[in-house]
Amino acid sequence: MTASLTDKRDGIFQPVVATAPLPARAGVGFKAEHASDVFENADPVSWFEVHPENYMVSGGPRLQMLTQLRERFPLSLHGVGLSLGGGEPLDKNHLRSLRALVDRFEPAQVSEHIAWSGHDGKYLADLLPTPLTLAALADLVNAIDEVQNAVGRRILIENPTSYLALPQNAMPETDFIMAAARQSGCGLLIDVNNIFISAYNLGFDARDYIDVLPADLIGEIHLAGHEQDADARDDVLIDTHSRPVASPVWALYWRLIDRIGAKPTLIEWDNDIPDWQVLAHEAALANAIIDASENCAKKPLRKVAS
Amino acid sequence: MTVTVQARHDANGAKNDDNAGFHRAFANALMDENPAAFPAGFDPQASRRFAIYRNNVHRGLQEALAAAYPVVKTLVGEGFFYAIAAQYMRAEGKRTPSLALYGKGFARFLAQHEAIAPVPYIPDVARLERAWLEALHEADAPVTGATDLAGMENRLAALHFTAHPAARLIVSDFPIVSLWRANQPGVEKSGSVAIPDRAETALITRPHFKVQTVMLDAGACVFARALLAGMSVGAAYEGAVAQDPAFDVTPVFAQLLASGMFCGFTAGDE
Repeated sequence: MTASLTDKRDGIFQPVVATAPLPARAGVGFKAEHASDVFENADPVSWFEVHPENYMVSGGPRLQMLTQLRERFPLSLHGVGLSLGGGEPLDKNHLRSLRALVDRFEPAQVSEHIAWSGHDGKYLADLLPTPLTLAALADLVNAIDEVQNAVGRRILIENPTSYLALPQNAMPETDFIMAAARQSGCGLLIDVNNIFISAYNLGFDARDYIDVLPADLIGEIHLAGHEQDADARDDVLIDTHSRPVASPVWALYWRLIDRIGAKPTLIEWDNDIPDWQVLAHEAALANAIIDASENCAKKPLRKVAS
Repeated sequence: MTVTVQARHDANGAKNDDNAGFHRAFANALMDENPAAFPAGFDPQASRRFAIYRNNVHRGLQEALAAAYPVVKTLVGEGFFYAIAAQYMRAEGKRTPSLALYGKGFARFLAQHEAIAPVPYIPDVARLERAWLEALHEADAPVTGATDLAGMENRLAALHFTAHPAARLIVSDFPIVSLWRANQPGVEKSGSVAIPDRAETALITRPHFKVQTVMLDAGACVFARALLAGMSVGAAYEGAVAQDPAFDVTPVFAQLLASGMFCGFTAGDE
């Protein structure tokens, strides 16, 4: 390593790069395949996000690459394994590993999902649905509080993708996620693609969901592509992160930031990963909407004299 | 961070602690051998769509195993590999929420699997692939090379080396290195590749940020194993000569030093 994020003179971590908040512009999920493009010229992408679980190793090339990335860009750690909605005690080793990454990489933001991904010591490698009940809400709030204390900072929690309505559900999802944020003191990461998919799959109007989200809680927005399920007997959308962002999702995104203002916006693309130029183009589209929305806000239409 | 924890009682005052029961039923249905299983109380649409979660979970774990054991997958074929991966997914106990090192016990699982008995080299190839993956993610450490031994020429026999964290020695009765090399991505697949019928030992190292696989012969294997165990160079040499009277220490010692398997040494007792 020629350059380092840490000053190792005393063996004590001293961040050389100051931690700034994520810019309210487009970021993308970092993929090793794009490393040479990113390190050469990342425009128009100004920040990156990774799953901390992929970096919970002792050493080697992955951590080295993340160090190089962090030397150049603000970083967001977006967890998939804490199982906040699991209704059981959090994995203490996992929390310690997350804390170690937060200490080492000084991310601008730390986030997790409103979901569960393991049960009784078995990791299930998916984001599973949390029942929308008071009992689950209390467990979720406790879990968020434990994470925030463990990593020493406020986190964001992400709204889930739904494929089915659990029979246990006793309140609207918007009430559930806002209560979780208000009671725990965390913020929200709003995935617009998830809202679109859930609305399509469960039969509600995505605009109603978007319109009640409070601006003060939202710290980041996610956008991604989805696909129709291969099962022709069922009309259902799957959250595949394998395509460009769909037009109706862009429209919902525009609707959201027009009301709440620009926020750090991530393009997620995790499967069938395209060339860097394709991903950069998606980021450019997000920036274009941010710019257009801000310009419209500054220049309201004049009333036409009658 | 102020927290108002809502009491775990619903509006009627009834204790509402069925959250754990929900997760248990859901998780059990996900892993049920019956692919049409779903948790109790689901309506027809929900029970049909439960298959989406089931597919995501199974595919997530099985693809993680396939990514960790690509050569085993090639050798046994995709269909057979995923059938075994499904059994392994149900059999393996505690797992961490990181898939970076998923599949720790897979070689042992394969060795105990009756369907693998006719191809007994497969578990050893799995051990090699596991060692490769562990080496990739092991702790970083500076490598001790030949230049670090300048001035020690007369005291070499008394040296004890410290094993680099990423160094792994995989000893097999089968030609695991030849099999592994012939099935790397990018290797020409046209025609058949001659695999020698012999025992092979793989030395896996990660001197900087790239994993390397070196094949050692019988004498070198004994020598390397003794050095990794912390024995002096002199004692390791005697062991190697006992194994192979023709053992030539100079080129083997140079090969081991170049491989990056050491990260320090002591001069021992004098």
